[in-house]
Amino acid sequence: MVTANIIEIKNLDFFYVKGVKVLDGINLNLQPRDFLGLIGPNGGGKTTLLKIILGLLKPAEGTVKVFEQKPATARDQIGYVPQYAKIDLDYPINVLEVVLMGLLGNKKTFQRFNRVDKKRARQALAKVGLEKLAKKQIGELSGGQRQRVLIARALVRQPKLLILDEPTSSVDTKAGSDFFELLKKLNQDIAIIVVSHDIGMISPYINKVACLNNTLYCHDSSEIDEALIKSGYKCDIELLGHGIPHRVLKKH
Amino acid sequence: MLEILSYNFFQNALLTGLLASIAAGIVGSLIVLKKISFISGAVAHASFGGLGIAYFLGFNPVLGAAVFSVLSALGIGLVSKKSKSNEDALIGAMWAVGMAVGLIFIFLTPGYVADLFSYLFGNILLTTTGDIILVAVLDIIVIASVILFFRRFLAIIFDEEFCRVTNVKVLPIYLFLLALIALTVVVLIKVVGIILVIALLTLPAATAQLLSKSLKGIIIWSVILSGLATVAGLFLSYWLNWPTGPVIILLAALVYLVVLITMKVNKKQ
Repeated sequence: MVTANIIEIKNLDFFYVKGVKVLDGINLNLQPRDFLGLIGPNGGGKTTLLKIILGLLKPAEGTVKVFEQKPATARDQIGYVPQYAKIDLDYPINVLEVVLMGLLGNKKTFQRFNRVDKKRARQALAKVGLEKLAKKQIGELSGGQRQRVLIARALVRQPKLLILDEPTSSVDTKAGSDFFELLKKLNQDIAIIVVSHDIGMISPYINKVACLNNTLYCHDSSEIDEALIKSGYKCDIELLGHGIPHRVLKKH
Repeated sequence: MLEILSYNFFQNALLTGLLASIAAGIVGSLIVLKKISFISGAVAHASFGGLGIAYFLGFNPVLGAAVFSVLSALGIGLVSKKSKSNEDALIGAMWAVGMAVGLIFIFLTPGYVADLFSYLFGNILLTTTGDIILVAVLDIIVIASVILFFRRFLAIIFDEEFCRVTNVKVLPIYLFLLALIALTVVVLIKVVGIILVIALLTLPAATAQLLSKSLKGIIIWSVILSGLATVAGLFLSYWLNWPTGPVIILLAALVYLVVLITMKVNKKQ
């Protein structure tokens, strides 16, 4: 049986300034239930690629299909978790209000959030184990909890694809691995893309890895060995699909 | 001292000050949260350009200031969201260019320019019934807007990128917010003047942010605090025979300082 790709990127080029390609000849396929780790150095184009998938930026060349549509029209099916560091901790908003924000785009100007919306928000919070903190201010939570609130905000839209940009950049290792356990659970029904520079942390959970550094660099090998990881940051986008989850790095 | 209350001009000033505090408190809270006091300051100063042009052409200066400040607010909003050029420098330039245009046109206007100082530093004691109606209308617009767009303001200030990805119309809401700021600025010119307007917008709101943890609470506190500063400032300036605008601002700053220090001391204990 052939499953339709939920993301199909062909020969994608992108630049902010003419002549300086940030993305060059990118090809990427993502299938339902995939858990893709997108790694690469800073400035390698990871966030740019996410923005293209989300339809915030338009490619210069090539085609991008998300759920077989244009990215901007496929947004309803994508849950987006932005970089954690951007959250203002003093912001006067509680957890439930943050989660409800996920539903705001579906509302007309005069519509208020109703009981159904609030129920959905509480269900999303339950999924990330935070239903008891619904009325807490966002600034009162720990880093790991706050990150989960942002996941709940994405989940309340009932997405088929979850995209996370550097989710664990300011979370400690324990909270980080708990966090990925949660993602692993969510991955049973939702495809996931995680941008991270911490390959050690994401490797036990992902089933595909892509290394992005502007230009495309093809490896025929279907395995990731240590040498490849070491040279990984020199390669561009290396996509390896595996039937079963595996470790990218050998156990020490 | 209370005999001053029987004078019509003082009653007008008091009423204008209180009404203006409603718009200032609401809009100021949003400015402080969104951290756009620099943009708001630019809008306030740019409005002087419109004022000068209207003065020169013989139109109502307040109308000129309103048109000019709304247009410059929309211009600044589009520049800050769409252009990749140096946003900060452009906003700073708009700030000064507005003032320059205003000063030139006022200079070119024949006759004695009595009102220049009062536009720059406010003269609430010269309010007319027309001014009061203007402020009241603005209050209604601001209150209706914040009720209608409460969730949207809260969301786009918190996380613009997420809003864009979930199809919330970020740019129109942001531009609408800037237009509200522009209109509020014009009304406050009467109270404290162009130079001081940004302080009346931000100081009570910044104090309110220390006192409350919800946007609703911040707005309510901010309205109360700017009302208090305005009323107390009016009485104090009458009693000291000092200019009203600066006294209002200094009171608002004093309240901010006191609250800030009290909070710090309480936290340590």
